[in-house]
Amino acid sequence: MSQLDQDTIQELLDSPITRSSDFVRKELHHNGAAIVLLYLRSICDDAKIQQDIVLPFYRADHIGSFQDYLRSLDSQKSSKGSSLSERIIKGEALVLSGDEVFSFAIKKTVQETVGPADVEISVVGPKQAFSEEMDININILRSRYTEPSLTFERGKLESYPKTEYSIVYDRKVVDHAVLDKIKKDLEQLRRKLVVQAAGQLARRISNVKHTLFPTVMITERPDRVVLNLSQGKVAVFVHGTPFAIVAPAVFYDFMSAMDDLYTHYWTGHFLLVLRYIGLFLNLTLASFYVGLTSYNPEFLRVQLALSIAGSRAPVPYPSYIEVVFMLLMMELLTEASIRLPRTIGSTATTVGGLILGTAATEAGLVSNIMIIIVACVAISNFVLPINEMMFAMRVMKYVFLLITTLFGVMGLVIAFIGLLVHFTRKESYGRPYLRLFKENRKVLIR
Amino acid sequence: MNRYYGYLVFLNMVVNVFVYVPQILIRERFDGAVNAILLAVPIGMLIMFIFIKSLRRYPARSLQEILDSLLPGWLSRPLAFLFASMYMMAGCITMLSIGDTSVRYISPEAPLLLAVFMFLIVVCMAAAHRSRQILFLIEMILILDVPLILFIIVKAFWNRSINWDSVAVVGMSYTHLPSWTAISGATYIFSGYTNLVVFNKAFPKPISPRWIWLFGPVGLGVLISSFAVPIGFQGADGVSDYIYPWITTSDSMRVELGFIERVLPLFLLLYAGISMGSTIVHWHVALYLVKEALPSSWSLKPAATWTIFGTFAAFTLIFAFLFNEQNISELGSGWIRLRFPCEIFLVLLVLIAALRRRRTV
Repeated sequence: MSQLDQDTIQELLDSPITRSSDFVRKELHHNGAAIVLLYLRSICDDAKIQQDIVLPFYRADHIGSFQDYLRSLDSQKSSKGSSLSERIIKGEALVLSGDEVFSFAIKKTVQETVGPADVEISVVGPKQAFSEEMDININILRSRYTEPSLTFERGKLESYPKTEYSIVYDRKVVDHAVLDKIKKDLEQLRRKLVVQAAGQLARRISNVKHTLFPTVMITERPDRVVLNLSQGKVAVFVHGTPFAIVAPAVFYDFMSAMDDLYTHYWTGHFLLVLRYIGLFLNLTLASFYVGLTSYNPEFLRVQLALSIAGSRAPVPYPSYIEVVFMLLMMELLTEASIRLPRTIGSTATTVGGLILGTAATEAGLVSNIMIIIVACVAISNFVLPINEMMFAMRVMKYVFLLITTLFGVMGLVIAFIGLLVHFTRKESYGRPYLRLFKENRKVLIR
Repeated sequence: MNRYYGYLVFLNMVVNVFVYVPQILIRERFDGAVNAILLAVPIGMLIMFIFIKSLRRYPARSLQEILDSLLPGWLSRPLAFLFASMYMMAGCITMLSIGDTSVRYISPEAPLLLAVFMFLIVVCMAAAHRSRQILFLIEMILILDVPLILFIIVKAFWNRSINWDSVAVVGMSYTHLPSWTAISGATYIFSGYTNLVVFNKAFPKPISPRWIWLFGPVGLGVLISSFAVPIGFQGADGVSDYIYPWITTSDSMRVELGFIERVLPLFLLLYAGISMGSTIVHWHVALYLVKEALPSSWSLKPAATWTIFGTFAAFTLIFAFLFNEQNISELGSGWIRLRFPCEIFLVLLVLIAALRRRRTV
């Protein structure tokens, strides 16, 4: 509720929103009193307005009691400081009565359902993901994280159009340096840009513009966010996307699936080791093939070296062309099957994977062993649990391949150490990206 | 004891194979190398202990700050440059050695210059980082490499081709007094602690000397294996025919049931990592010694780091261009001989500074 003056009314009437066809302006008269109702039909719940505002107005004996009733509903607090037109855009209905204005959050939500997690799948963990509606996400977190110290801070990005976000953290355990840095980063974003996805925002707020490896985690799993909040990390939700940004995130976070915590100790560790083996194979297998066939076949046992050479006998070009050709086919196949409709997707994999692989070998374009290696590289890439790290490593293996093609196996070792150097130098909000033992595993009460 | 301090010392121990320590000891195997090994352990441990103890009076200080409290600037700065050049040469020799072996045994078509250049890119990238990050890095390198290196060494001791009689023959020369060179070479194993002249700043708490004695037996083990295994494989006389006795030794082994049959590539590739780690540490130390000795108006410029590394790399590349493996080997032995007095000098300086500080405090 606030006092009206002519300027604010005029400002509202001048705003472009009044010219939109879903803008509703109703004048209601009863017992000699009059109110004006302003809202957007497209995002407000008509029935609720009828129920909560229009009917009570006609039932009220006099305007004073109706105003008292309105005061009890008033949602002024949630939108302090914003202008009247901004409130209407947010989905509030305004009631002008006499010289006072009341506003009500009567937004109708389109997407109330919560879908199953389908990017980060867990076997025995919770099944639901976040929703695209921010209020529902907050609801999910509140009900999972039942601590009074859980804090939400809403805000709007200075993007165009303005996007709502909320920062979530546990006030008791949060790392305040990280929190302040994230707030500052979010406020600094001033661009003509549409923010529609968590990844996009994550890219914009990171200080390193061109980086391959992610330093914030993007997740759709409420259980992961809850775990990270309890470790003192900060989560950011962007309106309209079912993903949360969690920071800081270091290398190990990207290698861990939530299932690691839910299964037995040894099983979990076995899976973790398996993932590191997968990572190593994914990065180096193609490079080893080039290095060992073209530079140093003598490293292998004689039988193996001979069988590789025998399988390569019909192949007319050097090993690196063979590898690049097959890897490229594999990448195309992966990309094609990601964005194809489900029904065609399986056809693409069959045509690409089975037929092309066999035909390429029979035609003598690539060796049999190369097919095995490419399959192994592709599968081991999918072992990585977090999508972003998966993509980063997919790119990284080409860097390794290039260096090995130029400098041989020693180049591969140097590139590997170079990657370690890069990782140990990198930081995520002041936390070292890669060091041997993970800190901050337990819940810290500061 | 901070575990990162342990890594610094241990890295220096492991890398000894590639900085001509076995070569020096093997050259003097009938003239007191055995006694040099036995003497090196108490000597090395003693100076390490003195250094750590003295440095406890200067928590989180670097060498320049310690020297400045002891000597006038016109003396302390050139001294820092002297030490920096020793560290620079240490890295340089490691690079030349690993570059030369990688050309010889892995990619014989590549020129030495190119091989060394490859290593230098990554080494310079890494050595410019902060001390803490370098400690994380060497921890990763050691954890990845050392288990496999241990596997090779254990395999060597268990190998049927090792001739313990040859080792015994060399062992019988224990009556000879050790030469300066042999002691200098053998104490190299323990000299990883000197990296603290810069890395001390990365340790918030001074290093406690409580667990240092552990390095005694470990160092002795490393020395004996890097001395005795090549002798056992190549014979007491034949071993001196090789410039890189350890590489020939590793090539004499096979992993019968392994994916990679020959041990040589495994050994070389693992040691490429270790050598790079060691060079990164040494050049990092050299960089900061030079930077702190220079007036701050120069050293704070971003170009300063790259100018210094450019100089280091240029030296290494010039050596790589001019020298063959014989020269590199001589350079390495010469450096090892010079290293020991420098190290004692350094420890004495720090000790005197610590004693004076106690008196003034």
